[in-house]
Amino acid sequence: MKLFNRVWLTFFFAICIFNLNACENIVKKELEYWSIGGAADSDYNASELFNSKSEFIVKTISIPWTEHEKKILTSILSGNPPDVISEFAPLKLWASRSSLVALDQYIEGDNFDSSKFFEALWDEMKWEGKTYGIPVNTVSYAFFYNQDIFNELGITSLPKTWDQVRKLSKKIVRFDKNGFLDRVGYLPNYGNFRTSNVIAWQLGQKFIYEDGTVNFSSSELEESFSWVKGFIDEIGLDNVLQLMGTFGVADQHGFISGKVAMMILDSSFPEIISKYNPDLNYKVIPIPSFKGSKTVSSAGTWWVGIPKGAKNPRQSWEFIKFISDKENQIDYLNKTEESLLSANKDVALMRQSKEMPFGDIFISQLQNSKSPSIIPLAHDKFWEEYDRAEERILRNTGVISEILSNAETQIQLELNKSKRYYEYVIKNKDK
Amino acid sequence: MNHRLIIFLFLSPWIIGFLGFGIYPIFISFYYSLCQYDVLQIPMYIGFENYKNIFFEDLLFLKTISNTFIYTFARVPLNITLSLLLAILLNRRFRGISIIRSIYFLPSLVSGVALSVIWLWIFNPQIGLLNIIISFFGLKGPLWLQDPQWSKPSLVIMSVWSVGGGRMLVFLAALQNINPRLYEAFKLDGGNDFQAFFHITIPLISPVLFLWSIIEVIASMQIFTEAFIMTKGGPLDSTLFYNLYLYNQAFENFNMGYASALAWILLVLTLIITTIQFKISKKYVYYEGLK
Repeated sequence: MKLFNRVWLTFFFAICIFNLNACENIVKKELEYWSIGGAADSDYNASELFNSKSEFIVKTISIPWTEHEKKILTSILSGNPPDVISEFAPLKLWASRSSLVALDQYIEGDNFDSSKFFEALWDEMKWEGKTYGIPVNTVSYAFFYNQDIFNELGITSLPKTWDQVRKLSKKIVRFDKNGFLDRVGYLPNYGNFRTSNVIAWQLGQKFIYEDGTVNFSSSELEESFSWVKGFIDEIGLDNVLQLMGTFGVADQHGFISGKVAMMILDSSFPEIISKYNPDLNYKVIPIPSFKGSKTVSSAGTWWVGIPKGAKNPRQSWEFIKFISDKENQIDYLNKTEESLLSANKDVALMRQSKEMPFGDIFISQLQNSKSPSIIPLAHDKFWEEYDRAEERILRNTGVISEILSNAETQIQLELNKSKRYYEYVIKNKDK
Repeated sequence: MNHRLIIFLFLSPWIIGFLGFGIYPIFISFYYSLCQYDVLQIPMYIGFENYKNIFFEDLLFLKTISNTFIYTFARVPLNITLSLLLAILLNRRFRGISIIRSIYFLPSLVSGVALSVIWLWIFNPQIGLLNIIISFFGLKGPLWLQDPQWSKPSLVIMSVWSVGGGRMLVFLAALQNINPRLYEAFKLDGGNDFQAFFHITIPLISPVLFLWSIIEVIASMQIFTEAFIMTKGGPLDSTLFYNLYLYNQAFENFNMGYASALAWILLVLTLIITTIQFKISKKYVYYEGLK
């Protein structure tokens, strides 16, 4: 190619690129918001409402929850993250991996009122003294029971303690003509709510001390696991496993199908039950506790935040404020018809009286909730070892105290390693 | 333009891919195996600490090794033997044999994920097909995947599903490659079919048997899909295979440095086993072309 042609072509492309950039400045700036996809939020689009009032455009991209976390982390790693994300996984875990932008300067700059959120949920947004996200929605757990089964067996007094649950459960257990267990009262090892964990909390368990020592071989946890083991042993682990093998999702869910008479479920379940078994006659009461101990529950929260490397943090913050705004929260919950609780106290209390079945119980449980993010720097290892220990105890593979002690050692090792790494990253991240 | 440059340009997509997605990850994974690294933040060099922890502190490492070896030593001989027997059965000439061969081949086309979901139902202790059949004989079937004693055998049983796949086809091709006159001569000398199998068939297909034993051992040591979908490593870590554990470390716990060390150990283990197989093969593999 002749030199003249090369120069001319280079000049032509430079002009084109310059014009494209100029055009971009004329149109509204576009931000990306990656929300967790689900059927329920299909009628609601936060960005559409926001865009009509804003100087810049937000595009919502809905990503299935199964892929959400990995896609966001990959985008952060590649240096091209979205501007705003919503997540459900514990925020402390994300913040400890330095994946989020601290929001304190915006919160202080705009005098953002954090007292409008449930305290437990706002505390969840903090890591090492800084705030990394804004809570949006949550689910709260409560104790569901099947009224028809209670009526059939003439049960009139509702369980308030775990020992009462155990007594009632004995009455409800039923086997079919082939000798297979086909109905139980309660299953402490079924569902995503760990009964042993809540019992331990109710007994005063503290999983980690201020000096960073893991406390897993405590008498409280031992007592809690012993209770769960005793409960399962009465029915027979093999029988329980066979029955659980028949459970699935939707109408095959243990409680919805009527095979489990009592269960701790979250506040989205009234909606799910009305969809898959509208005839199910059930009621909701507070989670039982031991005599003399307080009822305790567990709650995580959906939150929104700005991923590390986001290009327009100021505009992202404007959108986050909009999402967490009271009016928008009401709009969201009305349009999606989900049994989610707003992290905003006013909205939650307003819906409690109007639309949400058993809303008062769910809200009271929320106020007694603890964070599932117990040891953020060893979060995955903690729950991995927790589940492993519970399984070993239920399957009788050793002495409970030894099993717990082994788990404690493994968690402590992981925590020590993570702490050392975290300190190294903090020290060297600007180098 | 220079002729060599043109050749290089045409080869460059492959070269770039090989260097960028093959060689570079291999070397960098070794470096990461000497680091504490969670992908999102900078790697911290810790020398051979990951390797030390794997061998001396990690209680699950030996468990995953034993799980993987037990599965491999049960699956490989079983699958090779059954595929060979099936190939012998299908090594006949009659009308419709191609259709019968296709029918046996079909199950192997089912993808690993779909297969796992199907077998989850088959192994269901209460409503699964296997236990329903067992109950016809008045017996109570085991808990299969929910029983630590039965979980690995269940996955071995499941692997038989693809016995009529590519492996059987290669055996069939090898069997058809044997000169029939060898069998005729053997029978004239007074040998029976059973003896012919061990003295003619096995030696002549031994290179194929050797090839498949290597492929099967490597594939079995990398078992992942079935355990990931069906058991998640349970019950009691009885199906926590090496690759599943490696995946959990890398993509669930984000311990990428630790996972890299595990990957290098797997590579060394596989190399050792393959080398042993090659050494042993000198005693039983018959290469006609080399004689």
